[in-house]
Amino acid sequence: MRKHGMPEVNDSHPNVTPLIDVVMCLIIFFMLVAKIGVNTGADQSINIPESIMGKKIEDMGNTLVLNLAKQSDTTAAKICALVPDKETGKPEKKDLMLINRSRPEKEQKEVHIVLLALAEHNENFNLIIRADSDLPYSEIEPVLMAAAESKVKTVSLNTKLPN
Amino acid sequence: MNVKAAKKAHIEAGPNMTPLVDVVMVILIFLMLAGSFVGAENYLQSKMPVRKGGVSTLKNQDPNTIIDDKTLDIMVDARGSDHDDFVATAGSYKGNNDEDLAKAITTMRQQMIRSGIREDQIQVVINPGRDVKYKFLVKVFQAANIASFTKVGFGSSH
Repeated sequence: MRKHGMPEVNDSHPNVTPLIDVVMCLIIFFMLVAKIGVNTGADQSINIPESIMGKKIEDMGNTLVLNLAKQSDTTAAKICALVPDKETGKPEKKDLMLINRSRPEKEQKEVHIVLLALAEHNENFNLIIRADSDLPYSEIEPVLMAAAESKVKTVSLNTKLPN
Repeated sequence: MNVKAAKKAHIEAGPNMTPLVDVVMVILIFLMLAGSFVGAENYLQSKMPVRKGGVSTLKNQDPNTIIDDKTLDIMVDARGSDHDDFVATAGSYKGNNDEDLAKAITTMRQQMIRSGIREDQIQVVINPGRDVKYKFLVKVFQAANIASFTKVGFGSSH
């Protein structure tokens, strides 16, 4: 009887080709889903209301996102937005007040000033209001009035799709 | 024929995949850290109604730009001890269901059209109470969108 010896075993490295396929799929997924480097100034901590209707805004270039956050110690809303700095021109997150009495008289209406600068001679300017769900209308109304007085033609309410 | 030697020879020597895996992993980690996931968000657009009276009236405005729209008013009031509910009133409808509200304001629109008002002249003005929560206003706004109104805006609080 012819004996068969054990065949020699060469060092067999694990086959990494399927691993590359999986990782490539993950990369493509992240490239499609994630938005890199796009900062619209939207405060993600604000709990925005839900809505099934609404449109997508493709071009966010001609928009300003005004964040109205609910504060724990007061009913007043905290307003902030990404506005270009006067000196450097770079967009900076800035707290805005409807009336800031610590500023000189002509600069007190901070929200009005920002909106006027953006909406002037700009028919397609779109103000996006990103407000907390539980804010009362008494906090939203002054912002809408400021938008109307600053000749903003389009105001959009930022909502999210229900789960 | 030297079979043993043939068996020992490494026949297939494909490219070394390990550095490729390393590069791909680095790219993946970069994308995971640099990217930010954006949830499904949309925007309810309101073209500011321009009326002869009300919140959106502007001083020194060119009269040619004022559109004499007919308004369809919806009153919204807060309800509940913590203003955790609302009631919307439009014509004979009074409730808080957005689909029923959409049907009610559709009926009101049809009545306005029958009375000779053009469809593009009708604008919905939501008049909320001061204490009405923003999420309820969005529901009412949504009802106006369901009823296919494009001109929707907010009026003064009461």
